[in-house]
Amino acid sequence: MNADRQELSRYRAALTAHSIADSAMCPRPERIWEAARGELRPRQVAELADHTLACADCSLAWQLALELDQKNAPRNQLRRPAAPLRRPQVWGGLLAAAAAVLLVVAFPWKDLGQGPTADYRGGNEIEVLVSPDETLSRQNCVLSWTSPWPEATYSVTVRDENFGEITQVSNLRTASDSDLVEVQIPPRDLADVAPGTRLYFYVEATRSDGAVLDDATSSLIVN
Amino acid sequence: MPMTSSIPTLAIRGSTEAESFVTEPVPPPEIADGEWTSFREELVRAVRRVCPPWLVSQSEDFVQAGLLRILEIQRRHRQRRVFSKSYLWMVAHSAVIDEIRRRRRRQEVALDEQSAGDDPSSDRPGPERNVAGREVDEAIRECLASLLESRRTAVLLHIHGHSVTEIAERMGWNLKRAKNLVYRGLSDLRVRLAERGIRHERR
Repeated sequence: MNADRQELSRYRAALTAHSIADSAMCPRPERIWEAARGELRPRQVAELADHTLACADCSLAWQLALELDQKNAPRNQLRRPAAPLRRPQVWGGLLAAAAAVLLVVAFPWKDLGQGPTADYRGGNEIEVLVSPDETLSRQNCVLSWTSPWPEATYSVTVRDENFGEITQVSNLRTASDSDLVEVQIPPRDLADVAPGTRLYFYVEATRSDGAVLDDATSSLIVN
Repeated sequence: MPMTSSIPTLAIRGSTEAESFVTEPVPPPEIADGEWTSFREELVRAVRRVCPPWLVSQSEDFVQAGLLRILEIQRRHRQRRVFSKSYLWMVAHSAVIDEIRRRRRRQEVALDEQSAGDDPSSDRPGPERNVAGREVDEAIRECLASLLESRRTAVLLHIHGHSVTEIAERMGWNLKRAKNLVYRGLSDLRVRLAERGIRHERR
């Protein structure tokens, strides 16, 4: 690569020295963690990389994620392929896909309604992008998550500490060309919630074939 | 706050002594005592490796913030679920970054007035060197920003520490393309820096 360690180190120092970005625009650290681990789409990785060009803290976050990932964290089982299929392999891929379709048709799917097991950090899961300690304003209480099922519809249920239902929002979908779903809890639904109250919420995804995937309950604090 | 090899007592320093508090740690159930210690030590090492010089002295505080967040989540959800280790690493990472962001915001203004001793690119003190270092930093950023998009992404990922194979994986490129983009991107970067009178001299 013709770049020695010292040269890369100098470039790295430039990126982590001073921020010129508005910190309000910074992604959550979890998002950078995912980018470093290869759990985001290429477009999202490129956008985050561009952000690090102007943001020292996010550069640091990326480098720390990589350090921790390389040394410690078990790899996510579902990774993106190393490279797109080359042309001669495309036909083979299509044949394999056709065979898979035949198999599915020939052998009815068991436990269709149960859906896959949702491991918290596995590849087949709903990943909530609200950290457990996060405090959100009731005027802008936006819940967001990513999903392995971009074609599904989603519902989110919010409960109080006594598990009384605060609100439920249904028929949500991912934003176009994205695996991200965002919903703002109407401020009126939070009007009776005392500031500082911890709320619990969970997301459920329903695919057109009836398969259901739900996440673990998450929490947030409303001010 | 010394690092100990046994399970530590967590002490988080506040901005004043009056804000200090101590909490007894309970390692997450899926991490044995020995593993918890090595978890902590790895976190310490990783934070020290990536922290710029002006933050290194606070690296222990960042580690404590990460560990405390894990313990808090574990305590709060004790009856609900067992977290995977990779999730715990992500939690620690997030807490460390949150803490760094918080302190950076607090110190950024003061840093602007500090001398070159805190400049990560500086190897000798003096305000002139500090200014020069920042100018080089800015030039590197501007030259990086001017690269073609795919080359810029490849070079940025490489600078952050990704191997060419990892870059290929993350961007959906084949290995040859990733290698080519990193190579050409770095070449472009050197040319643009040279045009500004900045050359990297190998020692």
